[in-house]
Amino acid sequence: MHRLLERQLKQARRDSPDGSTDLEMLLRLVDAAYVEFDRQRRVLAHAHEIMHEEYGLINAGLSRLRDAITQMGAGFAIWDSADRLVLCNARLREILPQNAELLRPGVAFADCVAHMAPQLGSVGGNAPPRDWVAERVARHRNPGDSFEIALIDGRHVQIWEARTSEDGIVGVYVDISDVKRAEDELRRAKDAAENANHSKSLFLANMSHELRTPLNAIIGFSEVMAAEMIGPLGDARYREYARDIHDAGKHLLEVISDLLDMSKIEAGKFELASEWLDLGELIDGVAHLVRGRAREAGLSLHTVAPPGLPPVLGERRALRQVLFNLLGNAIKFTPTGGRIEVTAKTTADGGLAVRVTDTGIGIAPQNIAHALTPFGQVDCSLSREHGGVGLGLPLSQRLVELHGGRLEIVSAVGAGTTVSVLLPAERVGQSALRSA
Amino acid sequence: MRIEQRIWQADTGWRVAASDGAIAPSLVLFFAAPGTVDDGQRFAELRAQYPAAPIIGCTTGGEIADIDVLDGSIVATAVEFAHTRLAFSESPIDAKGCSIAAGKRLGADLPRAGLRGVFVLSDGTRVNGSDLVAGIQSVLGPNVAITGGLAGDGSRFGTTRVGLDVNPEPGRAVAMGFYGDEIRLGFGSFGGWDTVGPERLVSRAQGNVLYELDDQPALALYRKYLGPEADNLPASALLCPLRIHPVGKPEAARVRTVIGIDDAAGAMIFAGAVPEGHIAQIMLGHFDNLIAGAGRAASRAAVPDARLAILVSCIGRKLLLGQQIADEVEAVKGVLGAACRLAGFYSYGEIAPLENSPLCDLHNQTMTITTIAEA
Repeated sequence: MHRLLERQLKQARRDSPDGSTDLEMLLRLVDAAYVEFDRQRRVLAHAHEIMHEEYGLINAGLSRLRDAITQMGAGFAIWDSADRLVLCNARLREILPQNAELLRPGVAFADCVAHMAPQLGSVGGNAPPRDWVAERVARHRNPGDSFEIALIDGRHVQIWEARTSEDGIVGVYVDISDVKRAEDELRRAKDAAENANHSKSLFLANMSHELRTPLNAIIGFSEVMAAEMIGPLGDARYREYARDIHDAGKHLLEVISDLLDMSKIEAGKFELASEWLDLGELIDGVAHLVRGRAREAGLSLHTVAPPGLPPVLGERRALRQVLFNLLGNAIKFTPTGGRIEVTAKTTADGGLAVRVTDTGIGIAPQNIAHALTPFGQVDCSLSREHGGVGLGLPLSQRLVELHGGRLEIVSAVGAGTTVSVLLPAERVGQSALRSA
Repeated sequence: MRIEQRIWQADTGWRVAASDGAIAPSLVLFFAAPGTVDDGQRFAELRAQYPAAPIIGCTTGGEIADIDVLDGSIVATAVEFAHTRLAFSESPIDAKGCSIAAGKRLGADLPRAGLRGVFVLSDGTRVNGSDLVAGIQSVLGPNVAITGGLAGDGSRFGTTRVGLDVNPEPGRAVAMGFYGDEIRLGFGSFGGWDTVGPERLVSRAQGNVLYELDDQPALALYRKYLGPEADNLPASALLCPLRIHPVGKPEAARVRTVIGIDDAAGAMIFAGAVPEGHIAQIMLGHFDNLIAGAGRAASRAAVPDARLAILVSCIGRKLLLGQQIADEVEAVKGVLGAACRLAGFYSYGEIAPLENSPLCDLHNQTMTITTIAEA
């Protein structure tokens, strides 16, 4: 008899006063049991359904993981607490082809390592240590940072390992040969570039000396000759030639200085010696220097610097050179009868703007960027007509940028050009400079 | 050590179910169905029967009298010790926040010298059982084993009562200390539930309120698992306890029972903390495994010549096993033997030492057994 029925019978007897079986009571108990079994069957059937669903979820999760492990670009392996392979992906066998046959579930890690040892190359020029196998196994059991191994076929593998919650090890193995190669190439290229740059600097320094020395002789002696300091030259044409030699020499010296400045800036070796400057004075000084040339070219030159202009923190020589270049360009590219104006005023953002405006031939918009490139004078015919190597604008731009400012060019072909030197607020003082 | 067991049922009144003859009890332990002790009449009868003995007891989710599981009854067991002495302490439990303090008071009021073990009964719905046990143990240290359980109110989770020498009242906890060199106490606690479905992350929880598992509302998941039983929430959630453990530490797993739901928040309220970041897995009961689990608890608890075993089993087991619930008690009896009388109740939480640890904690969904023998 089923033990439940036995229990029910016992209860039906116990609850009746004369010890006989209370049939009604027994039926009630049996009926309740049937009802309960129905309920439990429903619960079980539902549980079965839920389990089916949950297994679906688990399987979906598993196949997602399996898929990810198969598809990942790195080798992947899980080792159990006894250091035997639980699973690995095909990529690992590709990365370690000598171990491909060995890498089956159940294989001991130590066996894999022992089999690999003869395949090892040098790492960073160091041959693998004699006790590499023991070291590798120990490191595997106590994983830390990732590390690299080199194989004799020239490939490099990066290994990352970590402990799992089941006291096993999970490992990711990446073939970094390409990265290594690229790194090497990059290093070689960098070395070569650094060498070339060093040679260039050396060359320029030498050139500077080699060029300036004879040039100074040419400039000095032509000046002596033009002034007929030692005695008359005779024919007046000799005096004129001597002046031409002197002017050409000075021009050459300027070009060489520009070149040197440009290469210093490009090498990041140009350091500003800043001081507080009165810009109005600077403009007047430069204008004075070029006024003769402007007059000779039949141009009118005007400077407009309001009184009380705030001082500017900058390098006198550099800003002079910028102004000199801009004015020189304006004179060079403005036809006879034109007008050149230099203005200086504070801007809305607290900075200061110096503008050189001419009524010259102008630059087409598409050529402005080109004009700012070293040696990129817009039109070769221009240099033939007007002279110059095309360093003025780019050098000026770099010098202004060294001051934290920028150079702005607004131009219309045939109508003229305005070049603005915009200095930032942090370079502009609070009040007018005390008159020096 | 002599024992007398009396059972009260509405149609028969008090009757003697087991007796070792004339007895001068050191203790009367009773477990009463909810509703049977509201008016104090049954307690007065018990006091009249045993005028000199300390009487402790509580309300239940079902009473155990040897191999019978009863409803609507009172099972009173009088115990006469030859050598063992007892001491008692009690504390109010009026809000969940004071459970640690209540535990400390229960522990502090028990003399320390010769203390061999503590049995605790507490209100089952106004207590944080883990805190209560931690409070007691913070005073008594880890070397004193604490067992016991939380009083029940059928499957209603309403009012539960506990009493020491008075008719049981809501909001009380009592502790009983065993003293002397002759007493032998045994403990065993085992569930036998099976985890099912995938492990899920406790992605949002606060204290004992679980909001989300794997970023999904926990209540919706429970409704799915319960299916046709979902209409009987929260009682039916007892069919699906939750096993939780810290990531990577399955050995530190605990079983948590649902004691309420928050429909508006989609949340489940558990008998103990469900920490965010833990791994959770839903459990289902397989009849045979639950019954075998009760047997395993008995094997762990067995001491030689045990005369009495106090069984504290979870109400969730009774709801699931239905008329077969007596099978788990028979399984215990089968292990402990005919000479060991069983008394116990279905509870809202069981108290016992953790396996392989001196620490005690609140358990859910287990059969928890305290065996008593005197040398």
